[in-house]
Amino acid sequence: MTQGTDPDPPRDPRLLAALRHAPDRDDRPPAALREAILSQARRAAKEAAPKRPAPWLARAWAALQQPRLAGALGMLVVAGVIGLLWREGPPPEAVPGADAPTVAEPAAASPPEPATRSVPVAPQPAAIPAPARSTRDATGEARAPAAKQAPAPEAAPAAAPVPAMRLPAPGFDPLAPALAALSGAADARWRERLLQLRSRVQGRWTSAPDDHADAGLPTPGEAVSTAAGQPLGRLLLGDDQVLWRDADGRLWRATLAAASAAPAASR
Amino acid sequence: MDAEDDDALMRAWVQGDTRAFERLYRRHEGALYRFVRRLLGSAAGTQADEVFQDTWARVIQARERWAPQGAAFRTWLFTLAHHRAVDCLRRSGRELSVDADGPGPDGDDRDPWARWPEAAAAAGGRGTDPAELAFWRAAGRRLLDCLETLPLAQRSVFLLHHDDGLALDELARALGVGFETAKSRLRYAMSKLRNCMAAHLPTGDAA
Repeated sequence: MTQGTDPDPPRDPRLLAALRHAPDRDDRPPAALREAILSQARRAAKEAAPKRPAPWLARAWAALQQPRLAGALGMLVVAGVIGLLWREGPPPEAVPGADAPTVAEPAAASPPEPATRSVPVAPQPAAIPAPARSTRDATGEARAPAAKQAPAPEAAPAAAPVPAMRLPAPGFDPLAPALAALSGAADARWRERLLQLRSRVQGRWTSAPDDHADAGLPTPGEAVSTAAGQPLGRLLLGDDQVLWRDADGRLWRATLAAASAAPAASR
Repeated sequence: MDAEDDDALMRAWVQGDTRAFERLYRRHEGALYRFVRRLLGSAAGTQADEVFQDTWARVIQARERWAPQGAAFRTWLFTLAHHRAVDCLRRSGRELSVDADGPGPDGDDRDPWARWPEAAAAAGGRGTDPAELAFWRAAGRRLLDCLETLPLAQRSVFLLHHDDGLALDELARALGVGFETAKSRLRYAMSKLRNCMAAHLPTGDAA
């Protein structure tokens, strides 16, 4: 092998002959050294050897490459998933009227539907909806099991389908329908109170777990109505929060900031 | 033995064929061991085993990075051994300037073989005459002594070129030096060895 036009220099025949007859011509490494090197190579090859799948697994994988078999297996998987979904009853989306409001009000009297964001919920075969239960658990509030069967004069029937839990859209104000109804001069007192309250809780409303409705108990607090007697809701002011049950029976909660909690509680 | 066979064995071993490695090892075992011992010289000969084993360990570790389109396996192997030997000599302080070429050839370099027996020169040591064999065995012993007088850089080039059969441009690339540098080192090494051998062998050890 040469580089460009430079020939490889010739080897000196006498030096080559002397190298061939050098006394170390037949030297070999010690046997132990040879064995150590070969063992190291065997170990390295063993560690690096690719793990081949079991023969049956390889055959199954090869069979799955056929479109017919793969299609049939796909159908089985889909059927299995659907069967699992319907195992404990139809999902709420499949039940007619499952998303209807709890209390049916006359269309003329009901306020406009608030803007809400839906949250997916699990199937609800029981009368007590699972999402409400889980929300209560999260807030740490206790629940009386025996109260489930008590009558509920102001709340929806216990067995009625319960709408999926909804989170209000940012800026949602559940007091707006009531304020709109309190337009007369005789309603000034309630309007002023609700306006004052709204300024303190604006943007903090959340859908509250309805313990009282679930338990069939009347909602505590003051009944809010127009001077003409039209019920608008019930208001409960606490030390640090306010509860509002609107005319549709939905319960809303808002926290009061520390500065605003004192005047609210003083009323 | 050719590079393609080495490459095939190396590929087989990378795939997990341990017998391929054993064949590869046995093919180069003697030449590599001899190269390491001659490169280290008698002063560092006790470390030859360590350098030899370390060279093969590097081969084992680097098997997945090894690519047949690069240098031939044999060139790569001997270059690895060369670098390990240089490291060993540097650690031991025996070779402080491994790249130095040392002084150039001196003395009468016109025809150092002129005083060697005609028959020996003509036969190149391939004859069967006992006297001739004795002559070349003495020449071999003398050559090992003369090799130790060479700077490491010249010794490496001479051994890789003459004993291990690497082409000069190939070994220049492997050692990371220019072709002319390698050629110059080889020329110096051969000149010094001729003078060293011619100065002693015919008068003292021959026949």
